[in-house]
Amino acid sequence: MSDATPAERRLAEARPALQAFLADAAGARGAILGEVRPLSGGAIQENWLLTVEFDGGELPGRQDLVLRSDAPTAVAASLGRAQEFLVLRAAQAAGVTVPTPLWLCEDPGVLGRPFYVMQSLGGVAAGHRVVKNRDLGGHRDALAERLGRELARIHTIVPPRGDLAFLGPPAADPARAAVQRYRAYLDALGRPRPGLEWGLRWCELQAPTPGEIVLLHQDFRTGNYMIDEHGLTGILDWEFCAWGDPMSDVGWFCARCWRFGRDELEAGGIAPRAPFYRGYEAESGRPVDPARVAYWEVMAHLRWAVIALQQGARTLDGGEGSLELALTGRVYPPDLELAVLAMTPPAAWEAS
Amino acid sequence: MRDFPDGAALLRLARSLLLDEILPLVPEDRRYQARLIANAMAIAAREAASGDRDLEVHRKDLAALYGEATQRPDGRPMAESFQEANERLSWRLAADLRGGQRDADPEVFAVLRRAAVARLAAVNPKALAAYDSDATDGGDQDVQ
Repeated sequence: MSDATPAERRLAEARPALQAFLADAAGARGAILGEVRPLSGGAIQENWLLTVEFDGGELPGRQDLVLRSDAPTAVAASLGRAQEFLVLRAAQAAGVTVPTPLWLCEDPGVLGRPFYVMQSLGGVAAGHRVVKNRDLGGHRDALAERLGRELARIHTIVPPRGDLAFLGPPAADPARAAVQRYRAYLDALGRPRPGLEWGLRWCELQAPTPGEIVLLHQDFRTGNYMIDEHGLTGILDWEFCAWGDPMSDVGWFCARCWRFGRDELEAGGIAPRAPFYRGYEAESGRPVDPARVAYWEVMAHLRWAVIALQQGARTLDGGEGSLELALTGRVYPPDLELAVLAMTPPAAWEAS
Repeated sequence: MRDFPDGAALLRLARSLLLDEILPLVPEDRRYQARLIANAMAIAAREAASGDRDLEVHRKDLAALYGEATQRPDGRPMAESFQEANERLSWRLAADLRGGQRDADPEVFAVLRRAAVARLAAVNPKALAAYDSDATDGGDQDVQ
């Protein structure tokens, strides 16, 4: 076993307070924390797998739970854990398959920052394993159709919603608002990126007419859902939720940058688009608009490029000195930029 | 002139040793980190081997877009480094694009594409295969 990381030491020190919180939240006479293991995939949050033995209460006996807390430095535009907890509840109420959110703790006395605890799902999420390992996820067309249905259920949540008031009012023109937002992020990064500016200008000129506004997951893609040998076990990573154009989530899921090398399987590297669209349309009654989806796929590459640059910059800000983040900031942007340019050659600037 | 093996060659040798001899001994849960290290070394080695070549090509491209000279009239090099010139002209191009002064400009498009290809070749040359062979047009680029 490797030595304890600072985060592991922090969690070990918090053990008594955490046990007391868990017992109280579950209405149990006591809670004994067994194994505590960090889960991968948290550039923005820390995720821990906890084995807890409850004495009575709402979940008596041995339980596998996931604890999700803010990382020491948060990324712009992502929700805090308290907000994410409320989004997760709303999604579950809308019929989306998610890990059941259990308890939220905003008392800094327990872990030093907010966290919540949710049910632990079985299965695999890592994108490269999902696209490669065909023994997982059941029939791939059926999985894509199911994911289309899940996304449609997320999109049944529409503003105004008192419980989601922290999301703010929806933008009048989500596409142009996105262009402004990514320009502001580039400005904050303080380095010129003419390749991305080219794409953002194209997006400004080609912005679709504002239409329906729904709750967007904004990171609904391969890598952010879990599957086991039978099929989907849950949709993860809700920290980027916002109001916007439903076709934006469809484009994000299908964008080439989220196919993990299986470019020919345009729905997330797992299936053709048809079954994914079919599930989405059947569940929502809303036709998929291919032109709008194509537009949002350009935006998807721009958005991921800006996020990758932000993650790379975090290693320079005296934040976490992570080689993984540094490489994210170096390796992805040129590829994403080339993809944007390939989709927006001069001939694609004709008035639409 | 530097003695051989130079920095790029040393990095390549170190990376081979890491991947061939050390990686199999690394515990399963740390292999991902070892591969990150190998990837960082590969990028640094390619960057060291290419020297200023990409920067110089981009300098010429940007100068051509703005009708700037890249040498002084007496033939001596400019006082401004490639990096400085590229940064200054990239800011200008970024602002022009945002302001709509270079919409759909085919010359700008070619320059941006060539620059992105050069940067991708440094960090992930395998990914170039996903783009048409014409992604590498425009002459001086070495994308090996």
